[in-house]
Amino acid sequence: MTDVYTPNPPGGPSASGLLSALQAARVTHCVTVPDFVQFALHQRIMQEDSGLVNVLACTEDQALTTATGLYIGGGKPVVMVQNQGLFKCVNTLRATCIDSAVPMVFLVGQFGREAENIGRPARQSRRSMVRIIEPLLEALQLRFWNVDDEGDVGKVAEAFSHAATAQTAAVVLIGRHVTWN
Amino acid sequence: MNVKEACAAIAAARHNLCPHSPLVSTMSAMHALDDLGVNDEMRLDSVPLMGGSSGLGLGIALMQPQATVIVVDGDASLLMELGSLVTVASARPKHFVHFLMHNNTQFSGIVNLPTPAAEPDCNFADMARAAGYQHVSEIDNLVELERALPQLLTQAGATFVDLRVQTPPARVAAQQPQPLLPDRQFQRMRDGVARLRKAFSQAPV
Repeated sequence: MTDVYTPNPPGGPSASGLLSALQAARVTHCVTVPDFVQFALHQRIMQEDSGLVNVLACTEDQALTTATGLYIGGGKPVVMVQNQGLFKCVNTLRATCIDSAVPMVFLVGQFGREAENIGRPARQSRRSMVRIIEPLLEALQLRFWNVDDEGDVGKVAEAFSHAATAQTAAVVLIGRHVTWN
Repeated sequence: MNVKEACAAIAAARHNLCPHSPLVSTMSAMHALDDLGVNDEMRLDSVPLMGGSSGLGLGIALMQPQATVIVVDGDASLLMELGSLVTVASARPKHFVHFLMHNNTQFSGIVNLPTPAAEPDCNFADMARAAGYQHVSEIDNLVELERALPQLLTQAGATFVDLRVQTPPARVAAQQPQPLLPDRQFQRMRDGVARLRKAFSQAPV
């Protein structure tokens, strides 16, 4: 097995497009354990003019409990992590969004998605962390939206609407590296 | 000093100094507060969710910086999210008081299993200090706790208080096995989230 990095093919949602979607949803805080797929959005949110407060957590469990506290206090946070992080915090997700009816939108980067899987269903990926996230969310009875390109960014608003209506988690799966424009 | 005595002192000081402070508890402290009749709209329990209380309190403190947020954690719970000390310190909450019920015991008062921090004895206060809490203290008796509480609940910043508490006798054994858990254990966090959010939404600006 060789250690060859594949160039990222053109495409992916833009940081500015995703930030606009968060601003339109009146998000107050981004609580995060950084995600490889969303580097560009992380940097954009950290700029003072983003209008969002960036809160760093050591683990995804802490990100979710902190975001839940922000929600209790009247805020509208978003949780921004990668797929490994979502796997890690399933029990906290169960306690907060499922058992306690906390509406929360997650932006989850599909870390590790291989070039050959782009344009195909993620559940056909040869890498487990990409392949099993959608079945996991289905098992948790949570809805998800795939955002692979700029044309998909409108789905973020659907996720916020669903979270508020159903009083639960809504997961936006970011399937391509966020672009820096 | 046992857990109930410590919780009674905290609840009394809260009642006198900051009665509308959010109070987030878990495990032994949660049951002690129940026994003491502390059941107001500003209470939230991290259950069943060991390790979640400091994160919940932190989020509330960031969104409601005028409020003194009181977290009453357990040592077995904190061990599950030990990095939360860093998450809290990094976020620099304005008024955040983190009490730790420390007796090196998991399922305290039920079956009393040792935590991994029991031997060698883990110094949580040093950890909180190293993480960046502005105020850290260690208290092992009720008189000192009662004397310290007015300052602990009114000073600004992130405060950590390591309370060395006694381990109560186990009440579960072969001749007296543990009962099944009641529904309330699985509903109280949901009720607390809704109640506390409503209280904040109705509070005068």
